[in-house]
Amino acid sequence: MKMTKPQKVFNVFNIAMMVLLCVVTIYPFIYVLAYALNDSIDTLRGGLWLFPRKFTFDNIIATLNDDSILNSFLISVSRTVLGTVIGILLCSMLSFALADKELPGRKWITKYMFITTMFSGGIVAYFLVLRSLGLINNYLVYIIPTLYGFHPFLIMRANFENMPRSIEESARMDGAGDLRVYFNFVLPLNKPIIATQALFTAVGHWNDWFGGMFYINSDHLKPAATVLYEIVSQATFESSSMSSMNARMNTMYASGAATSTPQSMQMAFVVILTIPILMMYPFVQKYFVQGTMVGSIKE
Amino acid sequence: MTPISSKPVVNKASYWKRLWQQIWKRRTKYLMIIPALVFFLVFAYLPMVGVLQAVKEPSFTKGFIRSPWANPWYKYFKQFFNNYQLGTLVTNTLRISILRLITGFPAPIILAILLNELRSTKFKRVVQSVSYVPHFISWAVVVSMLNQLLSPNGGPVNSLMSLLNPEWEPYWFMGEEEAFLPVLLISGIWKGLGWSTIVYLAAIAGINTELYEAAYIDGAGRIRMAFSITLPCISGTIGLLFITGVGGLVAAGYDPIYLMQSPANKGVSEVIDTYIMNVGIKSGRFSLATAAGVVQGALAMMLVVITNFIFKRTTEISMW
Repeated sequence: MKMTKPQKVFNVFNIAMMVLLCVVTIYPFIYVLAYALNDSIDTLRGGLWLFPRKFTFDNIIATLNDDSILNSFLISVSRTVLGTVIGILLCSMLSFALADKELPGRKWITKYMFITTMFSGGIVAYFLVLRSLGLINNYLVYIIPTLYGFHPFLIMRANFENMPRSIEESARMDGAGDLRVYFNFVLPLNKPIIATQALFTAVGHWNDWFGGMFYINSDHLKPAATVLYEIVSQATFESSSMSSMNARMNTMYASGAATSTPQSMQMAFVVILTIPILMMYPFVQKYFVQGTMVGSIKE
Repeated sequence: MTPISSKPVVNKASYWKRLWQQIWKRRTKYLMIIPALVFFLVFAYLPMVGVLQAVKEPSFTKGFIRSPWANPWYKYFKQFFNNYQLGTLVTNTLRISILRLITGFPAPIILAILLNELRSTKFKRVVQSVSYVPHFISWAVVVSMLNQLLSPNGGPVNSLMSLLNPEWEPYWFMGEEEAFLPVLLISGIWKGLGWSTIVYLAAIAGINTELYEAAYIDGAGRIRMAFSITLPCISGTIGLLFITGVGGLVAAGYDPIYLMQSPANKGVSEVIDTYIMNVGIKSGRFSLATAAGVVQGALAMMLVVITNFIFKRTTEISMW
């Protein structure tokens, strides 16, 4: 295709815009990384832009040395692993069962679940249900209410339906039951889609600050995302009446127990919270589109 | 196996018998379904019934079922409507939602079209991958990063501004009331822009390539094609997403607002959502907060129906 002059101008403009977009997207991460890996006294001089001037792991170590921060990460890791494994297992089993187009009641069961995406009782009624189940201030509030989701179900079912029937039929000829078909055929043959859904679920668990904020009172049950928010909001807005974690960071710093300033520790916290996600990213990235769209829009 | 419905029903007894056989053969599958039925009953349908809390007195000791009815039944609705903050609440909610729709809705469409116009697929893929990243970052992390980026003490944004303009005074973005909306809107676009393009890119990928070939033969340039083919072809998707977007108007998008809220900016940042959390869950005034939630839901429903009606009349795009 030959290009006219306005098209060339447009192409240059377009590429410039895209480069700008990438820079704006990535720069905050680079800055935070530089902040977290720079000597915290040196950071106070200002003028930090791209790279750490005095490279150190002290801030990261100081952050992870705090017992309650470490504890919050253990909560985050455990709820992410448990919630994702159990959730994906149950949700994929449901999708497998409903992918059977001749299952009596299939339509009604799907509708029953679909309605919940249209109407909701609101957050307060939901909270009251959690409370009457004894889930408030209970670790299980992270796991049980998040087990199923309509969207992952829909996507997994659409993929399971597209599997060639012949594989399942020949397995059944050999006398395999539903459970065998599910574990030996459906799961291994749909690895990419299950991996993507597992990633989305895991990211949701890892990033959730809401549950720890409103359903949990005890500090030792709060996940890292909630603790991070509490530290930052205390540091920013309530400096006169600093409580718990932020106050401790300040005393540690003032007494020389930690060489990191609270700000550097916050940024170290952000880095530790972000890196696991960014590390998983390249592996599943190519399945994103397949994992988010259901047939209807794709066609 | 043919579906049950297509089999001629000889008599009732054999129909039920066959149905039972179909079910019994799939007993493992039903066992896989039952937990989900219980789950949605407890965590989705029970709260729907729990909306009745809005017309009941809150009670810690008696529980939901045995707690007395509010007298009169609209007591807590009245309380919500008589709230001295009501005007501010509604204005703030609508202001944030409408501004977010205006700024956030067209952005991914433009980006999707620009991405589609990139000639190198490799470069396109890189830009896409990069633009998805913020979607996976927790709002708690984004707000923490914003605090540092926008810090008046050596934050890069303030540093950059004072490099460009020597008279620039360090500005505390996160603390000033008038900065709240811009920060909220821009960070919202930053986080959601890339991910929202997925739907549009998929719609663009579905456009028949013959259209472009025909236009090329007719001498249309790529810019012309973007406006005359790409945009009209994805207008159905755009319309549908717009209608659902309007439904989200009243629920102003809770996470960032709550996380960026501070005593200093409460005048513009207190929306119905944050009000429900503060009044309902933090202070335990469940009935009042539930009533507020019902009003919010009704508003959202109304807006969707109205927008859908207008769209149906003017463009034939409809949700139902």
